[in-house]
Amino acid sequence: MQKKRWGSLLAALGIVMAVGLTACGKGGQTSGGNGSAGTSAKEETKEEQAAVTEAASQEAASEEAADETPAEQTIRVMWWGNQDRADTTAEMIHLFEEKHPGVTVEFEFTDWTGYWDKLSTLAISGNLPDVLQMDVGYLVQYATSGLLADLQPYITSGALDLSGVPQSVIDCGEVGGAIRALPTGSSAPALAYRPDVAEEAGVEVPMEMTRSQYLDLCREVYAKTGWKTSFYPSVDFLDYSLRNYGLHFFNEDGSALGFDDPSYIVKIWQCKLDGMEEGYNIKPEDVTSESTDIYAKDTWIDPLWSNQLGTYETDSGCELKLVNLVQEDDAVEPSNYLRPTMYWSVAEGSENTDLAVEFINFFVNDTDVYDIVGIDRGVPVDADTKAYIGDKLEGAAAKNNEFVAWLSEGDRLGDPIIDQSPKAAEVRDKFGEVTQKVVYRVETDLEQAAKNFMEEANAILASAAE
Amino acid sequence: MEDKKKRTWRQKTAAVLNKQWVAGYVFIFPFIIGVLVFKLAPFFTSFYLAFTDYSVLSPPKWIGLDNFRKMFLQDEKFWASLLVTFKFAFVQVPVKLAVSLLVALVLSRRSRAVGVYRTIFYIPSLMGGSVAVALLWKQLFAMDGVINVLLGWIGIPPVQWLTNPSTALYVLIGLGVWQFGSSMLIFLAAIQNVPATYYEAARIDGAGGFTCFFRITLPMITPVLFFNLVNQLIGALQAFNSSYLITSGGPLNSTLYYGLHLYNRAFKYYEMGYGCAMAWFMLVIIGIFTALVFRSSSAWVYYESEVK
Repeated sequence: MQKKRWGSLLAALGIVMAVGLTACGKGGQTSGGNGSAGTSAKEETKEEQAAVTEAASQEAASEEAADETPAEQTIRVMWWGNQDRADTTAEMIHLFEEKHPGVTVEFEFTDWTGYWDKLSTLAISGNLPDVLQMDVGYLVQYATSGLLADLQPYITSGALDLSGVPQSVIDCGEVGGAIRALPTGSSAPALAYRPDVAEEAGVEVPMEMTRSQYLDLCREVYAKTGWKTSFYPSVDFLDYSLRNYGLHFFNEDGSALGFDDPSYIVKIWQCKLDGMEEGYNIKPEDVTSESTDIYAKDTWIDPLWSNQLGTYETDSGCELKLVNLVQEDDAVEPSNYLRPTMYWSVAEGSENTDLAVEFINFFVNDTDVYDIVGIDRGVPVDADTKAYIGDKLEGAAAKNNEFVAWLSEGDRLGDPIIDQSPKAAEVRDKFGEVTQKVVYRVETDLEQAAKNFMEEANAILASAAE
Repeated sequence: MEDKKKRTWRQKTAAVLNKQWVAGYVFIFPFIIGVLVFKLAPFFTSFYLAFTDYSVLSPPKWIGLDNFRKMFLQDEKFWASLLVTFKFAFVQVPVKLAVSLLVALVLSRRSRAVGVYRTIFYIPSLMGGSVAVALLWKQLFAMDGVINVLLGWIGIPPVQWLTNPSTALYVLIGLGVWQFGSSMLIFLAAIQNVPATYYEAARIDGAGGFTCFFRITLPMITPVLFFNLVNQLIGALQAFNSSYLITSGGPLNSTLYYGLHLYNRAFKYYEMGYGCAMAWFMLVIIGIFTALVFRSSSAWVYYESEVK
């Protein structure tokens, strides 16, 4: 008796240690249907205890034949986001479980930064969740590392029914000839402005403007109200400008920049500098807002992603309206495009790929989902669900939906482009740094600065493409 | 038979467990595990990774000295960040030591409320490492923050502390200096350990406050000054938090600490191998500075026990 107790105690101790150690190695991986981040730690310890007792009892009953329970399937789902998203997604998952008897969905979520730290540790330990939320900035990195499953076979077989999804949206998940992710929804870059300021200045803001119309408008509002604009020559805006000429920031396969004339860059820099000179464009050192409260403090008109409208309205405490991006005067192609808000991906080597794909299919096609989650992950990609949700929205969500619908009409959208180079983020940041030097007037030789940037960027991209 | 065997087994274990050194090891066991798993293993792993191309998501590839070559020859931000870190360390450390010594002197006076003051002055350090304080600091120095409001009262126009490349670093240095509590406490203890008889003798000889400080207090606490100097220098060279939280290295990389650049490389651009190489180079730099301080100490640090 005594010996046996000692033995099981030691075994239990060993298991505790093993569990503890693997938990460390996997970067604190949890697997629990816990409803909120706050409780996850607690849940984890509970589960460890459960594992210990389970293991101990298994040892005691080791001679008994292992009773395998069939039809019980489990998948793990992981995403980033705030508490609201967590609550609605959990509800959606319960609906999925209801509609798929015998299926258990374990899930976890974190904030944006924590998500990528966690995901990379899970990736190293070969322990990625079956379904994971993916972002355009990380897609290539993960896909080229062989971590995401190809969805094409499932699309072909119909297990993932994308009949109502435009091909251009599906293409957003293509990396190296395979579909590695599916957009959860779309949003688009837009200009948001404060109608109250426009009214005060007595100006109309049209849905579509050329660059010179826009600048005239900014001058007028500044003269009448003192409100400045905060147009900033970020890498995105360089890209919009390039798209007007049928070009892109990166080339097709990400091996180099997509343009070879520095004057494209110089032009948008000069636009900012001229505006600062004249006074209607804010100087970088005068910016006081943190980010999403910008309309309360620094500007009356500024670009944003249409799906972020609600956040900006709340944080700035003012009503906003959306109009299309500014088009270059001599534009030959529309600059705007629908960008995937985020993606769903299936991990390569998932043991339950079919079920994971079914989960994504459920998200795409089941209209009941949208009664719960709304357009938190973007305007739905499937035509039917998009139409279904259209009438049910209000406030910022309705404005976003309306704007995306408006863009989709007529000839207002170009092709989306997904950065194909794993060094894309570095090159984007590099452009940001040079731009900062320019707008702080530290760098005054714009032509040379643009040339230098392009040379360095091409070198980085080429080295990564080898 | 079996019963006997069991007993001997149990007796043997008991004999082992009853030895004193066993209890000792059992008690430090968690700590040893911690050191092995969280300190030593990463330490050696990072040394290996410094010579690899490691994107975190795929296995490391051995590339020899390429990381170091890139660091010294190609990465201009590497040198820029090193410069920022030196500037930060060489301004912050002396100022912080001076301030903490001054406060320690004031608080070493005998008075009833002195305990309360000590606590109050130590509070910034208690909260020091926290994210909240850094964010609060950011608010204080914002365009519409308290500092600018105060300046407004005395007629000074608001200053763009954090968005101006020439002031941003000093705001961060200010935050570091403000957290002087721990070195202040160490100074305080040292000051109170200086025998009162020295001062009495000096006073009889007609020495004033300043003379007492420079001729008695300061020489007597040089060992502690030395300790604080080394500690603060190492801490400052490894600085990360304040820049990450308040300015993210901006504006114009004027607050891009070495630590932050390393973090960006390793975790933002997935160049873990390069990050490890940077970390090892910093280790060398810290080693050099610490050695220099130690070397110089024989010239200015006074130990009572020393026979000259």
